[in-house]
Amino acid sequence: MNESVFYRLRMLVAFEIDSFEKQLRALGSSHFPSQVASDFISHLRGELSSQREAIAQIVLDYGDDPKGAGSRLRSEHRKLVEKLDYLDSLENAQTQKVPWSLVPTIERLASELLPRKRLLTASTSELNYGIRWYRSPKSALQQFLILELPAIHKTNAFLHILVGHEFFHPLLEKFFSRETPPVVARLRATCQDQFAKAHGQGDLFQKQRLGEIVEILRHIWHRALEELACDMGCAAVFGPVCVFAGLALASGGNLDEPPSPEGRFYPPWRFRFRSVLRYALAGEEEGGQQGSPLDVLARVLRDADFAEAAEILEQQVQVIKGETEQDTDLQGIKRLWHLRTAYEEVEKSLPSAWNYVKNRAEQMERTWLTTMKEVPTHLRHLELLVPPSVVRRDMDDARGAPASLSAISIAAWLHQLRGEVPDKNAPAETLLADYQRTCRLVLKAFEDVESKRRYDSRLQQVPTMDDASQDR
Amino acid sequence: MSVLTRNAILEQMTNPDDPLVIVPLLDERQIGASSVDVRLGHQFIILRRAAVTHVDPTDRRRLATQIQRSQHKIRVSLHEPFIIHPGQLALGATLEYISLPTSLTATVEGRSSWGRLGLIIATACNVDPGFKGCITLELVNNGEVPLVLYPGVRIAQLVFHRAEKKASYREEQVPSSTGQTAVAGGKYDCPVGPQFSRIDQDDEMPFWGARDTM
Repeated sequence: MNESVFYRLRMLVAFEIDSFEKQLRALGSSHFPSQVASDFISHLRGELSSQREAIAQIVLDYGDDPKGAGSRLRSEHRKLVEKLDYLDSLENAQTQKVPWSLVPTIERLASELLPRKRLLTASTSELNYGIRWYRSPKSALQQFLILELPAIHKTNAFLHILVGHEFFHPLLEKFFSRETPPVVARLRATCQDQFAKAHGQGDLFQKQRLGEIVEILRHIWHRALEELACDMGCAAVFGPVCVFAGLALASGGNLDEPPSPEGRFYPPWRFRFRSVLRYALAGEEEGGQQGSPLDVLARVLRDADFAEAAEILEQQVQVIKGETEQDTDLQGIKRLWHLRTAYEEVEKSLPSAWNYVKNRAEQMERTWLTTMKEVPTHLRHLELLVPPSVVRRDMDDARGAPASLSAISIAAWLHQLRGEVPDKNAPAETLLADYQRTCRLVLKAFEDVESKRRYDSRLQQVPTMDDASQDR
Repeated sequence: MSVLTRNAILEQMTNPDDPLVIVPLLDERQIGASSVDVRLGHQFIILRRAAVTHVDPTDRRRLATQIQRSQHKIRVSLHEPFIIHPGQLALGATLEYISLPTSLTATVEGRSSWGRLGLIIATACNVDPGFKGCITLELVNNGEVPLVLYPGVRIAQLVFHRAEKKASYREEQVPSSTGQTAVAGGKYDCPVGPQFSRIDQDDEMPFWGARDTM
């Protein structure tokens, strides 16, 4: 590399590192709802410091090896540019920009599913939830995951259930490394047949095209299966409310939107709901008389004198079933050969994807299947306009035990849906005020659950008088 | 009006029809002989003196802006300090969300242990029957040195009194001065943190102000 060009690049990188460092320092004095952001900032500052040292060495080496030093400097610059996005994430992770009362809950859930990861919760101007992480396994940065929530819905507790979907994305890496090779082999065989029919035996050009098409089909398959697996994982943790929340988020768009490059090959929403109903909410075949978990939940509600809530649950499930019985999404997929081929593989992979996410969800302390008995208690609390944060074991238990997140979420949705039916014609402001109040109560409940869990763990650690006398 | 003792408080908490609810009750020992200790919540409203010249509650047009500019809501996490300086007013709230039955009223009293350090708590100390929410606490450091507060510390006590007749903060309807029906006092709808003053919603307030603010 020419000395003059090397000097300019050196100044460019030095300026960027300095500016990055200053912004990190400023962010370091901001307020964040948890320790993760501060740790992330410290980590990034440490990396910048290492880069500074590496660059100083590159400058020393320039005289001996100008070409090698130039390419090493470019490499350092590339590494720096890859990290620039984190400034935005940290900016948007400040307390005022995220649902602060939910952050400890989100972090605890993440620690159950992703024990070796640190989760930074940030907002985004996009109307979507997302999670991203540094993919290189060699970098210590890959321990930090960035979870993004739509800023406009900061306090919309009903939608935030969808973070459950995001947690499954990083979990699927192993699944795909196992599942992809046979699928790609099958896709290649199908494409080869198709090519042979259309063009005869392939020459080198055809082989290159074949490789490109197989890669596109693999991408469509991967994207669809990943989203569907995450949906099913979310439903395995939170139950039917994942579909309620998904439908709320999707209702502004076209449920049949076929996968396309513009839509980043996302599967149609209708297809997603259908997969969740078919696998995650259908229950085991051997369930016998018990029926599906949804039937069990309806029975729990009826047994606790919440027949109306049980009916609402059944009606809502019917609404979603009705949506998924239409095949307009499938028609869009079948119309195009490449989508049809990729989705045939998606269908084949769905059972193993479901088993994979189900096993992961079962490792969690609590899921909706184990906590649905709490739902009536929380419904009662919400009727009283009280945050549904505790479950009392008996009448003498004034303190109660911390509620489970899935049961709170289910109760919140049923409470909201119950309110919608008789008040359909109520003024929009009243409906919105009710919706916002329930959001407030639910967010407060999430916050209280974490306070309670922490305080309870403290109580367990503090020796009591009884312990002391036993010691003697 | 009679003060509820511990057993009566516990009884009221298990009343199936119109219970007294206090959540989260982290420690049962918070229920004393005739009161319930409440803790400091995570949210505070602090004042920014430099942002406005004054706040005039009768000037309805500008009041909301004045309040928004002069007050700022912050959140303090667990184990994080909140420092209140001598002479400073900050609004906090109870960690506990209270749902009062329509037959009970409550008073908020600062714990004397804090008072002895100079912290004055809750100037508006009466809670109406039927109130639901976290109770906003007006905190003033009247002492000589800055005080460090932490979310979760026991800050005040609630003393419950039985009301002679049922009444509800949320539902009581009274005719307003403009001839329309208004909800009496129910300005704060299930708050979960400290609330900015809504004195602008007192419909008679502009009447008492300077004539050009009507």
